[in-house]
Amino acid sequence: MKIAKKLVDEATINQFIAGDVKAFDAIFEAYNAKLENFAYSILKNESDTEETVQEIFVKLWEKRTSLKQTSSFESYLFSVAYNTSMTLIRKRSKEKHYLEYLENVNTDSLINVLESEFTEEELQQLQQRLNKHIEALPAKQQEAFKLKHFDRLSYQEIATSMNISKNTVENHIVKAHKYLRESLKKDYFIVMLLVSLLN
Amino acid sequence: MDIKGIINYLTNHYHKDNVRDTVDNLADERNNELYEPIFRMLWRKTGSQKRLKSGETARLNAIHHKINLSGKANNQKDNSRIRRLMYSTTMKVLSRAAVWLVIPFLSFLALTMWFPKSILINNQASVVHTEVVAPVGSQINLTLPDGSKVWLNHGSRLTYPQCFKGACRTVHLEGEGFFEVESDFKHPFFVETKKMTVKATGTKFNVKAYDDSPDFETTLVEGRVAVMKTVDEKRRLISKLDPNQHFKFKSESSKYIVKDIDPEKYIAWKDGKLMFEDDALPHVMRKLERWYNVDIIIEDEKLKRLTYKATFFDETLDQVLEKLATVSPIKYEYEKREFNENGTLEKRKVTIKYDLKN
Repeated sequence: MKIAKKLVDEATINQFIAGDVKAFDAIFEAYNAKLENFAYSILKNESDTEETVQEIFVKLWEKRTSLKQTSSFESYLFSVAYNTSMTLIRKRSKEKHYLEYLENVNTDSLINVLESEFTEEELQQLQQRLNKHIEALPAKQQEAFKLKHFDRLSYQEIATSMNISKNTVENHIVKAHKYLRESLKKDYFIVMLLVSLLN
Repeated sequence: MDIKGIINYLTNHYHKDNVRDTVDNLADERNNELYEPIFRMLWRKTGSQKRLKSGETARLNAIHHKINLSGKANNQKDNSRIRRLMYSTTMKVLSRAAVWLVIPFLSFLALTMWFPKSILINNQASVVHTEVVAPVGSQINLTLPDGSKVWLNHGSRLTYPQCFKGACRTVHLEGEGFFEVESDFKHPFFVETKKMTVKATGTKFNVKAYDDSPDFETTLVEGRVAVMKTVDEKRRLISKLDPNQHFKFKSESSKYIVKDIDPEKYIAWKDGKLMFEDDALPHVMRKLERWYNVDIIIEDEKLKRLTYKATFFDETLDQVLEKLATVSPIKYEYEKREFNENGTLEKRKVTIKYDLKN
């Protein structure tokens, strides 16, 4: 596994947690471009990107004392960036003019911000990881989940094909998601542990 | 569960036919954890290359300001707790003496509350409004009955009551105006817009609130102003400005930003100058659209990150575009104009395209 290089040193992070504005500025200097690029991949327009990055840094400052271990700074920053960007795209996904923009914008004109493209291998790796978790689901939940997400059936259609009530289908799917969330969290924890050991 | 679709979206290789599905899928909160590994990978792959546009310092300043704002809010909470403690001990002492103060206090209250009201009611009785319009492509300046001066920018409209002097100096603005208000501390001057209201006594400031823009902006040159928003028919204070500060409210996100600025850029229009100071291309084109009464389309999303620093005075649209094209990778094309049904020519349209010279 490739280990991301650190853009700020531990001393700076410690000063930042203690409330040092200069250290905060150094973090901004180091991560602003990366955060802008990351948010842009998700949102695909300038003004939303700018707003999101602003919000990420404000949150980072306000919650700085909850950051106990300096070693997990990157990971923490990622979580804030991920959640903030997702909150906005969730809102935008309901807006007609935004969807029209995505449909009509020339995708070649959007800026590519990646240092390396996703490889076929990585894609499969992600897919396998996801499959592993789905296959660990109890049989009924797994069936309902697959019909919903792979075959794109509606709750009613799933109910008919599995010969159970619509309520039960909904129940299965809610439980499946809950289970997956838990198991992914554990999986993620193990991955992170490996990364920190390698460090 | 369409990992490939999501990756294609994130790397701009998506197809317009299924982008709605992908975004729906992404936006589904239940998938948040499922997709996290994809985004972690994306994060690792995301480069730190700087983007075309400058203005990083300005963005850091905006963040500092926001942090200060929320910081202040926290401090205020603490202060009020201390104040409440002091208040309760002082109250015990005072309450004994208070009885002797109640009667004169009540009569004072009656005097101050009753009389100004009756004056107000008289004044509002006869309201005839005057309306001044500066069409797109022209500017106007005028003096109001109280001696205050107003400059109106292209495509703006100002409405004010004819009996303007005295207690109720309120104008209504649609568009952009620069105000030099005659000093009268007893009777504040209000500029109402659909989005917010600016309250001033004697002072120089600019207000920008076009109906077709979701933003409200005001810039203070001299004196003091307060920005207010009407909620449930009551004006509530949003922010106070000091000279050389710029206030911007974005309706889309309901957020506002106050910045320290050089006001020249914001008020240059009143002297017929078109001024840009590290402004992004969409902003520049928006201004040109109003100034020259044209529609401008930016064809390439990439171009939206270009920024410009320039001042134009008494130049034609063609001269301005030509100069912008010489200093940046753009070219412009006029579209052929058709006749409208009533025989007039339709508005001129210009398209801005990407053009890498040489």
